[in-house]
Amino acid sequence: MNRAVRRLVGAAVAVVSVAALGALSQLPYTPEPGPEALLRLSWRARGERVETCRELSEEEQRNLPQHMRRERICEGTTAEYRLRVKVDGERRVDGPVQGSGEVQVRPLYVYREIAVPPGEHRLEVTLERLAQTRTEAGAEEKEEEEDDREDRDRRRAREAAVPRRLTLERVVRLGPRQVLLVTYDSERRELVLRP
Amino acid sequence: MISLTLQALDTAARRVLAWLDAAMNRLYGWRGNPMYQSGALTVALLLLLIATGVYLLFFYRVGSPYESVGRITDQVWLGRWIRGLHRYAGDAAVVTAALHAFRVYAQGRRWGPRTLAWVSGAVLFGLILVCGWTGYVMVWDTFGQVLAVEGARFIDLLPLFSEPIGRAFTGERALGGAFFFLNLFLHIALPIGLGMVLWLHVSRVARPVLLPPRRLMWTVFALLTSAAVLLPVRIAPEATPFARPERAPLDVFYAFWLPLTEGRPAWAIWLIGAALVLVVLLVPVWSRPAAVRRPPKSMVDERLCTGCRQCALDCPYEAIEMLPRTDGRADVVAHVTPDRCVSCGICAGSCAPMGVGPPGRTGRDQIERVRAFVAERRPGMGDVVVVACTRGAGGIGQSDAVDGNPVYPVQCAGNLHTSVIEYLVRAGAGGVLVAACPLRDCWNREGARWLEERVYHDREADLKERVDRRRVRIAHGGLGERAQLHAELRRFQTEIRALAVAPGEDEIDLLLLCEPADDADSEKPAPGREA
Repeated sequence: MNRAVRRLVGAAVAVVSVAALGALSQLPYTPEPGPEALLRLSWRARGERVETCRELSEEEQRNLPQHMRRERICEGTTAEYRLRVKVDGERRVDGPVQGSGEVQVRPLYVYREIAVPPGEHRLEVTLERLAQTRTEAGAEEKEEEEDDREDRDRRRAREAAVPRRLTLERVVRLGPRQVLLVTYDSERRELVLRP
Repeated sequence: MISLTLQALDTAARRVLAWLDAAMNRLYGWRGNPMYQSGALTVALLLLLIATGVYLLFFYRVGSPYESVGRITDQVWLGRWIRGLHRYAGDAAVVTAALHAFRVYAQGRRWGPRTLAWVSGAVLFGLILVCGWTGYVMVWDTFGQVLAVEGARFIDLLPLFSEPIGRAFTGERALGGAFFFLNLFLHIALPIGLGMVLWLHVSRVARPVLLPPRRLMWTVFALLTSAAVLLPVRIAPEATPFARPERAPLDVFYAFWLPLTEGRPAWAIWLIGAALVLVVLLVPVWSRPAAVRRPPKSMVDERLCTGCRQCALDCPYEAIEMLPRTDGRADVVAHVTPDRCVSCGICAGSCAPMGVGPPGRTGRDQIERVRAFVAERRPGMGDVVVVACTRGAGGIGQSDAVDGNPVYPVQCAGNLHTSVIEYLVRAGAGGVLVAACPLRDCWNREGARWLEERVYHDREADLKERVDRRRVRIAHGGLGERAQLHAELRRFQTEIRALAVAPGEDEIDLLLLCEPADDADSEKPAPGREA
């Protein structure tokens, strides 16, 4: 191969390489191809707090630093809920929803995606608090008798918590690859559809 | 079994690299061979990325990312091609960085003192990919959205955030400017981190070459600019959480993994990803040769060291420092730092009194060896002794003879002491052809360069004036360039035959010229000091 031919081939290789770079930089791509639409359930909500309270003995109080002494201590977690989703009568989700965090004291996060064929569908979403245990009930009864600052905070939190039962029943029409969001509106305290 | 597999992997990688190098040398010559400049090209491309990125930054708005990138793309005369150049430079940086890693792997320069360079190189590569990721999210088109959602899916598996960050992209609420500001911050902060890791990456080499030859660099920049003008980078439809993107033009260089991870459980991706990262990071551990096969580090014979500093100057890994003498003699003495020494032996070629080098490869050892070689092969006036590097040089160093000419193999042309060449010529060989690797492809970085300077430019330890330069030739060729070296040998042989016959000397005692300064009676050098 003489020098001129080598240069020509060299230039061609360089041009083809750069063209390939350009092409591979913008490769036509469809993520998860298919016409399926998506039902997306996503929300953050404060669940009810379930507490077990007990009186501290005098000795226990003495062992605490002075500024931490109190008559009663309450320990608890976020209540457990159950999420059920039916699409056209078919159960697609049925499982527990617990407070997040290591000891489940943080809010409830729901994030599920359900692929459905485009078209009209009957959608039923239910978020329901699971039944209380006897201890919890006892603790709550006791709370009603108290009326200090902690109890007021507790009551406020209970009022701000997601209702014990949330439901959404709607007939929806979904286009190909459309995403319909089911979320919780904390002001209206109900499940809503978006957009 | 594992050892055999690794050996096969090494051989395959070396063959592929030799073929690629040879092809590129044929097309562009060794000076313009981009394979030899892969690391330096990556740095040049990163600088280009910074330059174009600064321009784009003036027009980017975190409050309306998609619209602002759209406006840049609509600037037909400048914005569009600068954005294209930014994109293509980023893509090319991934390619050159990957080629650089492959080259280093194939050449076996990946363990021992080179561990830091390997590990920091892997970190640099990861940082480049993450930086590109944040760059795509900045645009906030469908491709950016896909990357953001997929990234959030992986990150949410780790107990890092109190709230899953994936929720930011579900459409519950509009994505605020804070997210794009954070993303922009990362896109700017990561290159600063890149700079620091790059410093670490080259911290163990002397005279690091950070930029390629200007001609190659500007050619690459021009090619990428042409691509930016002729193949303008498009902007995909705006991201929306309420539709699954139909079209998300994929950048294979930054998102090659996307088609593989989509729809698969995040924990499985983490497991596979972590395993792959571990395999790459631990290359210096699993691929190093067994202890018995590792070459010994250089040593210094203090009795011979004159404190000239040449070995410290020539060492490509800054493994030699000059320390005050402790034996009562004036000045300084060379001292090898074993943690940095890769046993390249270049110091052996640089030491005129032959007092430094790996055991068995010092100048004095080389004289002993060449003496035995001459006694056995008896090269005559018609012969050209081919001194060939065993790692590159067309593989000639692995042969016993080439075209009937005896081959004298050396581990690197750079650790060849010029006295060996002198000895061969004075012993009656018609000529000496040193088959070295191309200057930018020396396995020991600077061996071929120092050899040239020692033979032709009086660098210590230089080839003495008394040696007829017409009988000495240096030829360069990569592992896959045997044919070119053969051709050079034939040309040289023809020239040698035209020269008058120079009778060989019977008694050649080069060692008499460089006896120990304070111990002329000793027959053999004492063991050197190793730190």
